[in-house]
This record gives sequence, C-alpha cells and structure tokens, in this order.
Amino acid sequence: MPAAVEPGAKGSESIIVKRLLGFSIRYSIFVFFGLFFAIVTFLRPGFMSLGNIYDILVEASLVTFVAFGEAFVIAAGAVDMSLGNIAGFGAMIACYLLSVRDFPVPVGVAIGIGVGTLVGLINGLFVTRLYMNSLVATLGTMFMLVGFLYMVTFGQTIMLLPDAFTWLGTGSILKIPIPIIIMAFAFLICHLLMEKTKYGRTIQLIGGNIEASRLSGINIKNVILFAFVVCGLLGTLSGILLAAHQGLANVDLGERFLLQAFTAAMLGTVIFGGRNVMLGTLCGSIFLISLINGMTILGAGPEWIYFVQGSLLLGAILLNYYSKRVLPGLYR
Amino acid sequence: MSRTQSSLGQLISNYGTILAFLVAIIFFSIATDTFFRLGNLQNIIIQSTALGLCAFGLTLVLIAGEIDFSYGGIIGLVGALLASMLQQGYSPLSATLVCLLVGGASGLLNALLVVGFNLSSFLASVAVFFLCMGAERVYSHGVTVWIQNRTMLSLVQGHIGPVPTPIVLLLGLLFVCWFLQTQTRAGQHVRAIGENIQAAREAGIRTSLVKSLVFVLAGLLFAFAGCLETLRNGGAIMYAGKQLLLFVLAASFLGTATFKAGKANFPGTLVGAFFLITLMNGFTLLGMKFYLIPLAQGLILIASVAISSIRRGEIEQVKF
Repeated sequence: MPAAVEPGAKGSESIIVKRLLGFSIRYSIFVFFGLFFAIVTFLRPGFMSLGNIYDILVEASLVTFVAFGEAFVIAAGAVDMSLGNIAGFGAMIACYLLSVRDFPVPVGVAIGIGVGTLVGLINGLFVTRLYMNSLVATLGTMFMLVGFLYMVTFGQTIMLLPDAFTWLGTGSILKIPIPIIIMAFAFLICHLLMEKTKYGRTIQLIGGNIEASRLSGINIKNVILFAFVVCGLLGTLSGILLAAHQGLANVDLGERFLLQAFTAAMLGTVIFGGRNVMLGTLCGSIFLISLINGMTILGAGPEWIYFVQGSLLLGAILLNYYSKRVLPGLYR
Repeated sequence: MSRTQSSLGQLISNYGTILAFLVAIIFFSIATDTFFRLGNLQNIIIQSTALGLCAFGLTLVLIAGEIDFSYGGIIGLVGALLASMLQQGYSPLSATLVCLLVGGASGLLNALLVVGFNLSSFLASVAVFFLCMGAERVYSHGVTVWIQNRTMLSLVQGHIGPVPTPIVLLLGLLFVCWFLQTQTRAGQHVRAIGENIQAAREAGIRTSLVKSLVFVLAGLLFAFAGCLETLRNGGAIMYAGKQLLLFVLAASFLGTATFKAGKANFPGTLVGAFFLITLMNGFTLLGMKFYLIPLAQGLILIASVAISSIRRGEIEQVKF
C-alpha cells in the first residue's frame, strides 16, 4: 500500500501545490499527444491535412461507438465480451434483410438494431437475474453468437448493399463524413446521459461502490440491466455503421474493432480519473487511432499496433495511479 | 425440509457440469463408433493439454481473487521465441529455459503492476497482453517458423511407457497444482487472500508476497503452455495466444461451476477444458455442421455457470 498523503495536513498552500502536481501528472497524456502531433506534423506535413484528419476521425468514430457501449457496462462494474459479436450479428441480420430479402432500409436497420438490443437485454438478464459473473455470461453469449452468425450466413460475405444504406457510412453532409456526425451526436447523448441524469449518477455510484448503493435503496438490478441494453444498442449501431462504411458485411465484422474499442473504453475509465468516462473514451479512441496512424505515416508499420496499444493503456493507468497518489481524495 | 432442498441444490450446482459432461460422453459413444476408442480419447486429452495448462495458470490467479489476461500474449511470444531459437541452433533445454524466463518475467511485471502499484489486475494484465502480443509481432515479423527439432517434437508426440507424454504432463501438473493449493499452507493462503484479503492480512498472511508469487507462477504456467501449444502446432503461428484467449477463460470458468460451485479450482478447470474439447471432437465425429460447436460450447458455459451462481443471490462485479 502506498503511503497516503493527508490532504490539508500542511496547510492550504501545499494543497494547491499538490493539486497542481496531480493535475499536471494526470493531463500529461494530453501534453504527450500535443508533442506527438507536433513532431509528426513537422516530419510529415501530410499528417495534419484535412483528408488524413477525416480518416483518423472516421476510424475513431467507428471504434468510439463500440467503446461507448462498453463504457456504460464498465461504469456499472461489469464487462461485455460479446460486444464485437453483437455488433457483427446485428449488422449481418440488417444486411441480410436489405441485400437478400430486399427489405426497405429503415425496416432492415431497425430489425438489426432490435436483435442486437435483445442480445444486450439477455446478457443483462444473465447478470442481474441469474447472478452470473458478467465476464462468463457474455463469454457464453459470444460463443453462441459466433455459432448463430455462421448458421445464418454460412460464413459468406454479404455485398450488394443498397446505396441508401452505404451512404450512412461513406456519405457526407457539408463535406463532413456522416460517421463523424453520428458519433458527435452519440457522444453528446451518452455524455449527457452519464453526467447530467439521475441514471448516469446512479450507474457510477454502483460501479464505485455496489454495497453503498444497495444500502441506499437503489434498484441495482434494473440499472445494470439497462446498461447492458444500451451496450447492445450502441454495439449494433456501430456494427451497422461499420458495414455501411465497408460496403459489405462478413462474420468477423465486429471483431476487427473489438480490442481497440476495449482499449478505448478502458482508457476512458482512467484518463479523467474515473470521471467524464464518455469524454475519456472519446479522447482514448482518438489518441489510439491517431497514434497508430501517425506511426504508420512515420513508417513504423502495422507490426507496432499492439505494442502502441499496450503502452498507451499502461501509460494511462500509471498516470492515473500517480495522480491519485499525489492527492488522494481529489479524484474518486 | 429446507435443508434437504439446499443440499440437493448444492449437489446440482457442484456436480451438474460433471453430469452434463458424462451425458455428453455417453451420447457421443452411442451415436458414433469412433468416439469411445483409446486413440480418440487420448487425442482429446492431448488436444486439451495446452488449454488445460494455461487454464491452470488462470485458475491460480482466480483463486487469489484477481484476473490475468496476459496469457493471450505470453503464449504467442513464447512460441515465437522457442521456434526461432531452435531454428538458430540453440539447445532445446536453453530455448525452453529462456521461454520460461520470459513467462516468469511477464508474471513479475503483472505482479509489479497489481501488487506494487495497486492497479486493477484486469486493466494491467490486458496492457501486458497487448505488450506481449506486440513484442511477438515485432520479433517474428509475422512469419511462421516451423520446428524441425525431433527431441522437442517428441515431447508432444512421444510416449512415457504406454502413455502419451502430454497426458503425463497434464495429469502430473494437475496433481502438483491441486496438491500445492489444497494441501500446503501457502496454497491455503492463496485461497484466503481470494476470499477476503483484509481478513487474510489481519491473520498475518504476507498478502503482497503471496499474490506476487501467484502472478509469477501463473506466468510460468502460461509460458509452459505456450511451449506445448507451439510444439503441438509444429511451429510458431502468429497470435496463437489470441486464439486460445477465450477458450482458456471458458475452461477456467466452467471449472468454477464444477466441484466447488462459484469457486475456481484445478480439477474443475481440467474438466472444463476436457468438456470444451470433447464437444468439438464429438460434433466433428458426428459430422455436424461446424457452427454447432461454438453454439453448444456457449450453451454449456451459460447453463453450468448459471446453475452454480443462481444461488449466490447477489450481483458479482468485475474489479476495474
């Protein structure tokens, strides 16, 4: 156990110093990225071109979407391993209906989203009604979804999607790519839901201390259940967006983004020290994608991706640890 | 009345998975001619070896009340090291020692992060998982290296007496793990820490030391499993650990639903690993569609764990 520093033990002056110190440790990750952007731009000016920034943001928005779903569940002190497969499953069903059965786009998308949300609900029921550990319950769901996916599609890739559908992933309004716009809306909604509503405060209370929230008479079960439903909904949305962006749907659609989304959601829990998780998640995925993009531009190649991912995660949790240690009590 | 009821429930939650496993074995034996043959049964055990050993490592960490995902990276990293060192002409012994050393070092890193810095083992071990996977990719350049060394390959293909070597290794390590955990004082300390770390500390157990040892031992087991998996594959395949990641988790958690409901234990983990592989083997022999395999595995996982956890009565949280 690290020696706890008593806040206020040496007068208010030292608190200010510590507060500054804690602040600067915590936000040094932003300084690091500022420097990184500056150096890459200096060496390769193309990095800061509008085209590349859009590339980074579109990629990041696809990751962030999945990550938002995970962030809800993580905030409730649970984890959803099946999220990538929920994304793939919902998207595959929507694309199957659109491409093979000629459903109208809104109906096909709505059914896909409905199915994904239902899987989220089932996950939530496993965890809150059967008291299963969320890691195992969603692992089981994940295995079953893999089976279902192959059963429905026989591992085929679905192409020939209607233009109105692919427009969602490739089109732009006022020259801004649509995924970015959708992501901005999703961020606003998730952020407000998490920070400004009673539900958001409740879920963070549960994630922080389930015993205290049980004693305070909150209906824990339904709050966690709802987090899983939201997670399923956002996961499916991201899968559909991804399929629209690629112009095709295949069985490992969601898995491609799963690890990055997990990383982004975990970064979200630590960047602002457990607060503003949605903003943290957004920053996390933009950092991650731009780091990979920048290193690729510098010629580091794809073999460094996991190394970068691991170092970023490790760096962020260590920064969180140090800023908490400098001034315990300032951050949750 | 209520007492018989509760003991019946206890019985079902402790032995339900075993029962399902036996039912599956009997079903496959009747439905196919080839399942219940010595060769096939040996095959199932050999296929479960790396999975089982790796799951032992995870089980050890779970008993101590933490979690460790780093095996997803360690297995691949160790495989790449082993294959390329053998190719460069190092002796099998030194190559294996280096692999174990790397596994132990990753475990030490986990221990440093979780015990030293008091970080969540979930986050820390995922970071180590990524780092090891990155190291594997950078080291191997994504090239598959095949193993030619006969002495090493005989470790997985050879026999000790009439019994295939992997079976001896697996059952031997099961006995060692089980013995150390249940029959020695240190092993009981591990369980005590997992149950209630505060109480364990107050009882005078050196929790930091025990927990660090657990992570290092787990790292060694992961590395050993990685060597065996590489030898079984005949070479280092990229991201071999990532492919095992979910199966190892599934085996360990099936184990928590076996023998001791809700608690990780080594014999249960082995049953879990056998069960997953048996389903794969049996469905393949039956000529069933391949997608039914993950479907059945998922169903079994959910059903077993649900039965063993429904009596818990409160929601279990993951520590972040």
